[in-house]
Amino acid sequence: MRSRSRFAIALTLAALLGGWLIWTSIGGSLEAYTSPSGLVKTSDGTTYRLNGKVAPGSPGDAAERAQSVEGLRFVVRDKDLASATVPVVYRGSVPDAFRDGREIVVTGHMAAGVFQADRGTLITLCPSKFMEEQAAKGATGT
Amino acid sequence: MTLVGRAALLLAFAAALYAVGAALWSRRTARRALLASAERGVWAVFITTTCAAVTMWVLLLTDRFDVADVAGYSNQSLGWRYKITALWGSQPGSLLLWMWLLSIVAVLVVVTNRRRNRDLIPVVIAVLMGTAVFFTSVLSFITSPFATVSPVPGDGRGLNPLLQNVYMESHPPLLYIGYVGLSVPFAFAIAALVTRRLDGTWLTSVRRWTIASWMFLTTGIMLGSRWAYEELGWGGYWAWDPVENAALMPWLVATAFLHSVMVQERRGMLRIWNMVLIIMTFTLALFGTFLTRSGILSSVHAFGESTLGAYFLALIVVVLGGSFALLFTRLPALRSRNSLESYVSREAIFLYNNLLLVGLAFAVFWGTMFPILSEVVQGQKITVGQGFFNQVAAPIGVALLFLTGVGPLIPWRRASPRELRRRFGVPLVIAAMAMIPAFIYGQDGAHWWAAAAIILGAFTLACLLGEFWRGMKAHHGLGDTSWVGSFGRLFTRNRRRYGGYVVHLGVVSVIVAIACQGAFSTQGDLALRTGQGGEVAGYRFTNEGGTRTSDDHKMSVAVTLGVSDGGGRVATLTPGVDVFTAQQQRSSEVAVDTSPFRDVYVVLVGLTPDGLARISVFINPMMMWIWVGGLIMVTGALVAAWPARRPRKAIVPSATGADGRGRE
Repeated sequence: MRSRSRFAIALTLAALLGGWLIWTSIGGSLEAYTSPSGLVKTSDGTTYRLNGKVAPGSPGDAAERAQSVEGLRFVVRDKDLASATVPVVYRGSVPDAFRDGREIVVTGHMAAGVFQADRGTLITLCPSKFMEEQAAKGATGT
Repeated sequence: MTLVGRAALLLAFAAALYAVGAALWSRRTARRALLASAERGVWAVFITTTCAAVTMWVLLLTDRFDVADVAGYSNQSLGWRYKITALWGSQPGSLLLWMWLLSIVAVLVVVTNRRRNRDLIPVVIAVLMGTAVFFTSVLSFITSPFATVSPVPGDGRGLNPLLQNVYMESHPPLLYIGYVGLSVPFAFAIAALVTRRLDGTWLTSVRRWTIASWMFLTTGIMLGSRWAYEELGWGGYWAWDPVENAALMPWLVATAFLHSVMVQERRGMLRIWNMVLIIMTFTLALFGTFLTRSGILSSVHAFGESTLGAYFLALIVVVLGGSFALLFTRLPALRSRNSLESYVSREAIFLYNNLLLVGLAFAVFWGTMFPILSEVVQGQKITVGQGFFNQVAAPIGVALLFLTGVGPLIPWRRASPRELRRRFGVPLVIAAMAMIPAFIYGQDGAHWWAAAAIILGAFTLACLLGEFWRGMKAHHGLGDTSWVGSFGRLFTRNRRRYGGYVVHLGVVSVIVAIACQGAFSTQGDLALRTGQGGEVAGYRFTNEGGTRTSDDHKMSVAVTLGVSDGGGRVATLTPGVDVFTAQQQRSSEVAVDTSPFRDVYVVLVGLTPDGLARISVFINPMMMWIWVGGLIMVTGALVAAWPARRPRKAIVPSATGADGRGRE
């Protein structure tokens, strides 16, 4: 019986330790998900994960620009609302799938009305289908 | 043609439904003929599903663009190999693949259990065919792979170029075999609960299934990260993306199960725990499909969002609720007969290993689901960065590495201090020796986890090699076999044990390599004109000229780079970029120079007409050992799962000793 209670204590300790580990680790890496429309209201230094679509007019040589000193400048718009947009400055590697109309996620913060992206955080949500691209092309045309 | 496919799937649905009913009814009435009929039902499901899969392949190979999935994922210029793999490019196609594999697995279960586990088999068939009912109904009524489009397009949209490589040909089916294979231990566990035959029989019967499924799952995950490394061009191989996590979670819990099963076999303990683990493993495999198919989480891989999520969620709720309710009613019968005698014993180590693996799986689950939970609780979607996963995984990985070496050396029940000194003497000395360079180079303290992984890696390696050595010495001492012969005899005599040790060797390699890559990789960007050179981390890259070519499908640019370090030229790398004309899709062709100590990984970012090449360089130390380690793990699992060589007639029908290979 003694060993049983000791076992229970050990298990509780393990659970507490694990819980503590998760608690402390999660604190530093939380990033609120937001869309361009949600972002416009804030301009504090909080880190956000910006999710939206690349608005038409992004440079064709995006990957090269992102490596230059000035960085890659492009505009992100809401997935459903084309009028809500935010300009983004980004440096680092650009996924192959990056281009107008593609859904992206990029981490960074707002400063002077521009979303300052963290280096190398740009990811594209690449559909395994090409249907969305057709839709994107349609959207570009209008 | 599409009619044939639809009909086959409908027949499969009917047959699966019949098999469930007949199998369950045969239990109630104890009529053997009915059970035989249920088994024939399983065969019917297999034949009809095969028919459906073959039909789909014929449609793909003959360019029938009136079929939506053919038009969406294939085109005329696609090679026949990719036309075959285009099956799992689409969502209904991948579900069809899952269903087909499930039907194969079910038939294998029926065939291999003709004379064994006769009282378990009805329920096993009911569980497997119940799953089949779900998949065939989804394929028939919700998302059919044989749906047609009109007007019929002249050509298909083609397969995403990112998916056109050997890794994507093999990674999804292997992962699926792993997932589907895990439904067998689950089915047996449920059967044991239903029939109240809760002795170890069901465990012994599915031991090999579990190891084999684990092996496929490992291979699938390894190939997936290899694909990310070679195709995505960001210098990494794992990003804690929801899709990756979805594959990792069942793997972690299955690994825990593989270990705790041995405690039950040997000591009759952890019987409830094992039930929980196998239920969790199977649920997580379904959950993985749910995550990737429902679109509730945004992922790099974002598969077309669909309404399937709700159906999978319903299945998960049914499976979880049903299994745990059943487990709850059987709790009294599952109480353990033995209790832990010492905290330093084999069974205790297995317990720690289980806590760590399940803890890590929980942390991964928590991190993956956090956006959804936070949206429900706080109304704001908050994601968890990679930092969280790395911070949790690093200490747990290092602790697991330690147990990987310690576990096999600690005896069952309790260990005497003398024995511990004798077994751990040499490994401790080696670990102490490994500490010296770690302290010299790891001064800054930032690479604490990597240093710990290297020291413990050396320790674990010594433990494992010592174990091989002791085994060989024993065999050598017994007779006149040579040293090589005694090494081989370890495996023929005790396949599972030494196969397991080989897996552990692979784990050491993988964890140490991950730690080194994570801590010591360097990255640099260079812009080089023709003839110019630049340096990253002691390596000099010289632009030796670019090329531009184009054909019907794609436009390619590439640049030749001379790579040299202090000692002279090491390699010539030619990274490039292809732009596929059909889809206007860019695809980086990274160039990698691999050596045992580091990978030099170069991505061509852009090449201007006047010859200015922008490249990204990653120096990844020890990278090769992740893949080598993965290969070792799979080899070890193959050894452990391989059927023992023994005459057929020696098989005892009374289950317990049926495939009684060497015990631990």
